[in-house]
Amino acid sequence: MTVEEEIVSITLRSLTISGFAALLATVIGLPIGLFLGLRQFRGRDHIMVIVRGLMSLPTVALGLLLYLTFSRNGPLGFLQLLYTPLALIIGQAVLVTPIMISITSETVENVSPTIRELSLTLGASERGAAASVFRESLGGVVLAISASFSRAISELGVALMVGGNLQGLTRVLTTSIALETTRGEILLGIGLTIVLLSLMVVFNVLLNSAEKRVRWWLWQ
Amino acid sequence: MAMIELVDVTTRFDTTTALEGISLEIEPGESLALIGPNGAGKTTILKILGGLLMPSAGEVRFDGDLARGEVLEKLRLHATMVFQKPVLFGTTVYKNVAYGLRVRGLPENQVSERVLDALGLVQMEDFADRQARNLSGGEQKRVNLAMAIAIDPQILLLDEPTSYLDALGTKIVEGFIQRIREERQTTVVIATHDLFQAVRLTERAAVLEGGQLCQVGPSSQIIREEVEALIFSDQECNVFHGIAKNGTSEGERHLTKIELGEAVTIEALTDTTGEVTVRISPEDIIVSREPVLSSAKNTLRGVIRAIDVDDSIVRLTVDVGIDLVAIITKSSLNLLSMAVGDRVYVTFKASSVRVY
Repeated sequence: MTVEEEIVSITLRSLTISGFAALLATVIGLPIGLFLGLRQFRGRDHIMVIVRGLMSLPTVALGLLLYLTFSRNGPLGFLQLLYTPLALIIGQAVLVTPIMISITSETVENVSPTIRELSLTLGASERGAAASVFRESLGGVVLAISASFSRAISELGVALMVGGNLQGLTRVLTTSIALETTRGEILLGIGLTIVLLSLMVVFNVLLNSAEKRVRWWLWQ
Repeated sequence: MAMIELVDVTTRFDTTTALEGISLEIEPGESLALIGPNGAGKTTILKILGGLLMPSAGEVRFDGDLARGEVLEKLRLHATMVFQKPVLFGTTVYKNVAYGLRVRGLPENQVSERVLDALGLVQMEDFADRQARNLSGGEQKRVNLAMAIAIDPQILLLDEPTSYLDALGTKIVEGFIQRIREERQTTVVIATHDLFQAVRLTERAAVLEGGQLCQVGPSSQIIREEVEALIFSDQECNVFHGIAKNGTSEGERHLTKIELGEAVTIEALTDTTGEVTVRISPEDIIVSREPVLSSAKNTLRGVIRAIDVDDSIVRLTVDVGIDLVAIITKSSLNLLSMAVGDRVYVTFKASSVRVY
């Protein structure tokens, strides 16, 4: 395999793994974020403090925890996930789900009281009012998805510890950059870094464009 | 039978009691003003009347039925509130106004007709395709009114309907409120701290203070008593009785000369003639050593009678034939080196004169 083919392969793998991780975080975190943003209940503030704390979880610490969980003698060792792409997806999803929950709930909480009351007073049902709140919070939800994907694709700790940087299997952009730099292949490392940054920029541009379309569609 | 009835309603937020033991009946087609200072509970009552807030104790009845479950939903469909601070969806003006109609499942041709009709009532027909949140505060407020009126509610609840509006916007909105009352017999409840607006727009007034209902009665009587109380208290100043003479029109504005005693005549934006009470906000008065070249219609010469310094704010009492109080900053007082007995000019706009 040529260097170019290897770079394309690593890039596609990074995109796939981090894309699925962000998707998983969205599927889990979005409803939780909406619920926390819309509802006031006893213990909610404690949950928010924990979620915000988890946002700044060191990736190496999480990587170690997941390594111990997935390793042969760990509680989930029987699943034989260690050093597989699925372990990477799960690890990155665990890492970014708090980001998804926190940004979504914060946005919804800020939008909620006024937009909910406006919708209700114009005759919407509670469900209709919640839909209006979601529609008005779309910018924040997109920001949460963007932040989640960016954090997932740019993290190194989890990828190294549960992925193992296996060539052709779990080698992603960040682990490749680290590897090539330690090998002294600085130019290749810089090239891979440019690819990583470009991916993040392109993803965010596409996401913003998608937001406008979704917002337009939601108003139809 | 009352359209909406509050029976011994109490509302608490955490440790604060916003309303206490409020009982109030609102008849179909009537106009009621809720008067009181900030924090008196006006907005809380409006939210309860609109079914947006449930009281901690007491009952809300709509058409005789307890407002819960289906009756509450029915109340929300028939009572619409316009909030003090404009709230709009992040889309075009047209879609904002159409929201309530689409929620009710109206066909699009009727939606279009009623949206344009409502925008016409607030003189914003040309704004339909504009992004609502890009409009000025006053324009947004008018869009909010159009959103409410498009659905033709039985009860219109207005929280400080002319906040964020200039003199022209205020005139448009007040005209709009009077028009929908006359043409549609809509029940209107207005929360305001502007006594003069209350008497212009409503037949009945309820005075709130500290979450309690102090007085309910005909607006003109209540407001007269309130104004008299203000004149004889230290809390209010620059309230005078006078005679308004037929004025002149300047574009959409109607300038009227008002004689305040024998020596003082001022100009105000009003259509009212005859005996009036006026209030000039102390914050709107400019004090200067020389006449100020400006568009303001009222410039009077007088003598400083008193200077009361309170932290960084200074209350100047200037005798211009009547005692006018102006509020300036301490730094302005120092800059102009003013002292009791000095001759000064006071300047204020015709739109700063509220006429009752």
